[in-house]
Amino acid sequence: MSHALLQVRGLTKRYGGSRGRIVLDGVDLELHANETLALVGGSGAGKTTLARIVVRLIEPDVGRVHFDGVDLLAARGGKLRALRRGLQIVFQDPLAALNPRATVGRLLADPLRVHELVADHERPGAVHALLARVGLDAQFAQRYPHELSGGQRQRVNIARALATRPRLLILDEPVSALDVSVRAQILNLLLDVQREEGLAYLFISHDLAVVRAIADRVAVMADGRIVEQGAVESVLDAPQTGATRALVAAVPRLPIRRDTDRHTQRDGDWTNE
Amino acid sequence: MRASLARFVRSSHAGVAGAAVLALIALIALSSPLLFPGDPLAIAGQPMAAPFTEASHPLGTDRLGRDVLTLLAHGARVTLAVSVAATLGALLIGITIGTLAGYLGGWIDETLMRITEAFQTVPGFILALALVTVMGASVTSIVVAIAASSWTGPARLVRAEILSLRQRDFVDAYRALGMHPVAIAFREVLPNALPPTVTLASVIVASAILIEAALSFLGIGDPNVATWGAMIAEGRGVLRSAPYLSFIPGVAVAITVIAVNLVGEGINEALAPQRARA
Amino acid sequence: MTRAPLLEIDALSVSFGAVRAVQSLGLALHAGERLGLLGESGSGKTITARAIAGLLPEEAQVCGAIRWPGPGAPPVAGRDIGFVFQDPMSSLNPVLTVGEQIGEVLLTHGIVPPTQVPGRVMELLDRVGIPESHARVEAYPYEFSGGQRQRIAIAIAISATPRLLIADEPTSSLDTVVQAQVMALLDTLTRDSGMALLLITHDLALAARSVDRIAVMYAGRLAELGPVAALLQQPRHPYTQALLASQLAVDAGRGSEPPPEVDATREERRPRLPEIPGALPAPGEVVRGCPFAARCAQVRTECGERFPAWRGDANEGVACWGVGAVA
Repeated sequence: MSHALLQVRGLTKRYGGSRGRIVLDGVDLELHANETLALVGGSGAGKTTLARIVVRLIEPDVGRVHFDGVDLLAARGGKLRALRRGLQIVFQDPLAALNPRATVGRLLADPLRVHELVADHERPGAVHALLARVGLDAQFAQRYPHELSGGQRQRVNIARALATRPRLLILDEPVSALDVSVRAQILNLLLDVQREEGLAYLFISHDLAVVRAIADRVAVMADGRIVEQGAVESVLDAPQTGATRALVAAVPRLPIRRDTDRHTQRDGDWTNE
Repeated sequence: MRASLARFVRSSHAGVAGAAVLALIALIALSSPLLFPGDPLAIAGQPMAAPFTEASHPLGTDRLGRDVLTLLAHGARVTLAVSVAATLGALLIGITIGTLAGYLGGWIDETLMRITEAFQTVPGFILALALVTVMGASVTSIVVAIAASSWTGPARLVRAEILSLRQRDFVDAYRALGMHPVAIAFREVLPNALPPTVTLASVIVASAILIEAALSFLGIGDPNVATWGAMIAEGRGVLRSAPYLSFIPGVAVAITVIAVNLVGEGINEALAPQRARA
Repeated sequence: MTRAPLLEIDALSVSFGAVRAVQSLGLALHAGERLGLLGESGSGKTITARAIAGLLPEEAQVCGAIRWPGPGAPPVAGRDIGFVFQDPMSSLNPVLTVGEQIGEVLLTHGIVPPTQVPGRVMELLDRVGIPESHARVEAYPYEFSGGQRQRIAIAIAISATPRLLIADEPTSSLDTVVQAQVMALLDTLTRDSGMALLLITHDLALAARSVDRIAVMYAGRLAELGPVAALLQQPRHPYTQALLASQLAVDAGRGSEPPPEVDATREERRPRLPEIPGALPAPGEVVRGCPFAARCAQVRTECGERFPAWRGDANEGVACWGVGAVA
């Protein structure tokens, strides 16, 4: 087996001092190149904390994170900045993640400027290429975030994250704040990008149907631990732990399948499990 | 920005009136060398001519025979220049300290806020008085003194705004990008904290006008320039026989301060709904 | 249906200045019935619910009629209509204990004599499934989890045994497991007490599992209305059809395709998803004709000219030029 792109070992984090609430309790995780790992679990399970540690927004109490074999938590200054190029994040709320006073053009130029990826005079062209990459035309460069729809905002967030040509994209509930009818567009964009660029996704979600559509493997978190992980189909179709079973059972399903479906109808009652 | 301006004009008639008055005063101040050429402190005629008695001295003359209208126009120039310069200085210091303290946090925040509190314990006017006394009476030292005594307000305001903005995802997005913290703080976060600061700036301008007038009144202003405060002080000795000598510049100070405050309130109203929606 | 409905909405339009939030909406809700108001952002579902409860802000311009044909006095919000909001933290008062907040409602509407208030409060907390209610009565909202807070908000909403309970995205701020529990509670409460439920949601599967009829709204207009089974089996409006087609399944064997082979390529295992092209109309955007026309796969020339007339009644129907016409 090739070495993992992202390797997390014994990650532990408490909020509020050494006696505080434990949010991550010895998490081990591996993610390979060109793979999508979904991180699922209820609120407070520790998914977002894990994501924020991996992109070095918060520091863990104990544990190690290696990105492409390099110790991520020990990196400082220029070395950390160089590592960040390979590792980007897309947040849940697409509006909150964009500076309200910056145009889309400036937002997309930021990563190019910070990492000196293109010469100054080539930057507008590179911004237009990024916009095209996520299905937006060049005129969006002049717009402000509040002038965009939710789906367009998330496209801008994805374009910004892709600007440094990362090898790992952390997606923290990227579609849960979006309208139902634009959700599939963004998921398809993510599928297309992965197909063409072969990058890995750490996909945080509470929506198991979305996870099934996009992920290769899934890790189930509960109370700061990973309680179960494996291929998406095997974990969702035959959950081994109570936490996973509860998550799978709680997903609302259409009580009557469409005409085109040959599968059995399901009983329409809510389970209280 | 254009939308804010439109809302300002629509929502605040008092603000528009204040802005018109200020514009008129600024126009007079800027054109005073053309309208009233020569040294305003030169003797122009008989001393103590009452207002509206001589066509050549419409607002009369003072004890030394200097033309009151000329003094008033040139005084407007100095008064506005000093208060605007002092306000810009106070904003520069306050915004820098507030942004660093609010964004970087930790011991930097602690240190900067202790310094701010130390400045705040001394009343602004007393501090300005002490500084001018030490530095000597000149326009520059008055500007520095007023700035040094007025920067704590913007510092605290900007720090509070930055503290709440720092929690937003867009700041984390810049951090994850690897942007330098100082660049994030000043280039990206600070512009979001400026609207309330603009409102505060008008308050500082008004108080700077008053501090400058009070310093001149106490006789520690710059003796080589005409200012409204110095005019009031000059008229104090003959308050019973020629009250107009203090009254006219006093009214000028009052009108200017009120106009600045009206503009400030107007700006505040124009920005308020925008902030509520954000 | 022959009996008089609990609630009749007739040609309801709500505007805020130039923004038309709801346009000529008509539907009926029967006593004890559970109706889902399904829509995305800007669909007008929340504005409709607030109009029913009389909770619209003052600047709203309302025309059309909201009638309560049944006998008795017109309903009072808070007593005859209970309202559960999306965010329980902001709908509960942080400085009052939950016992005080529930007791306040009971006293305001004179539901029980003051001496019986503590007993009734406990009873309500038990009903919404707050464990050890006698110990938690004195607790403040922040001492509860998100799901428990929503249970308390529900206890307040049902404290006066309303005829209609309006729940506006009651589970959107909760995770899936807690969502299922809260929906199960709403289900039990409405079944037991016979009160009507108006469930506002953007989640088709959630609505389908929880209600008897669904009203599908799009950009301020009612697109389709009908019983859940009919709507799911024979959706008539292209928007409803598109929503159904874009539903992702959590269970094996999505759609009619065979399960992917073990050695299938990644593209085969993770195919692109069916998507609805285009975007929702921006708030305040004036659309001529049918607002869904720009995204509709079955668009016709009439669609861009006028909004289609409602084909049906207050219980079921559809607004689409394509329905009933020769394809």
